[in-house]
Amino acid sequence: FPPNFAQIGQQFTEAFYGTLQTNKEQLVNFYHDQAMLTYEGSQVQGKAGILEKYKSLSFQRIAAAVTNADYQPMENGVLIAVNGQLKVDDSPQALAFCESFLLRNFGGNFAIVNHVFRLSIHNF
Amino acid sequence: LQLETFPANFALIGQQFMQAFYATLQTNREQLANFYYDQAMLTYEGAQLMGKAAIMTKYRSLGFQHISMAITNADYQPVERGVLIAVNGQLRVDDATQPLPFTETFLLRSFGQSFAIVNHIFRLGVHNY
Repeated sequence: FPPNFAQIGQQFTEAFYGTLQTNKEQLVNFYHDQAMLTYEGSQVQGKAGILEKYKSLSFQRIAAAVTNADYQPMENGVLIAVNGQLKVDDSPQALAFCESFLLRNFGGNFAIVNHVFRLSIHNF
Repeated sequence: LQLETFPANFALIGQQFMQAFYATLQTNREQLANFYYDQAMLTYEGAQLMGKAAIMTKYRSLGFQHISMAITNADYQPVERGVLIAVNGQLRVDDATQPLPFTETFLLRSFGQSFAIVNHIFRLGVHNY
């Protein structure tokens, strides 16, 4: 269990959202080769699939504001739960989103092995 | 990654867990203790709790009598000897007229034949912008 899990989590969160907002195709570098991403219900596995998914997202610009990021240590990794809002292109409306990341330590570097993203839309 | 330890039926495990957990939350909160590993961690609205005893103290301290949960989405992914569950939904307590959005993440691990929560994070989906 990494004792500095919160710091690892914070550094990851800053780097990830920074890259998402400036150069989303570079996000693939955060993932393990066999990582899994579930993006709005669609499951992809492996870096190639994940890169394709990010390339397929149709917005030019995205601004992400993190409301909460919670970190917990796990065996050889960190669990991260993020809650926030995002805005794409010229949209006036901010959309609530939530995502979970499971990071694992691979020889001193932490990589995403599991990632789930959802917009927080409730159609009730 | 030890992919061979990923449970093949992770989605089924996840669904069964969810149904049991939310039913217990809504009908008999005290029994939630049975879902957690002894050294499980819960982060509830930012408060970090470690171990079953602290977790149950937290559940007992919650001020509502009744809670109803409506799950909008539950996503499941396999992990080594376990399942990651990400939930998105709305909840309503007591006589509140307004439902509140919430998100939670569970990491389940297999212990023998059964699965227990080792990590759990809960947040209300409130954005103060």
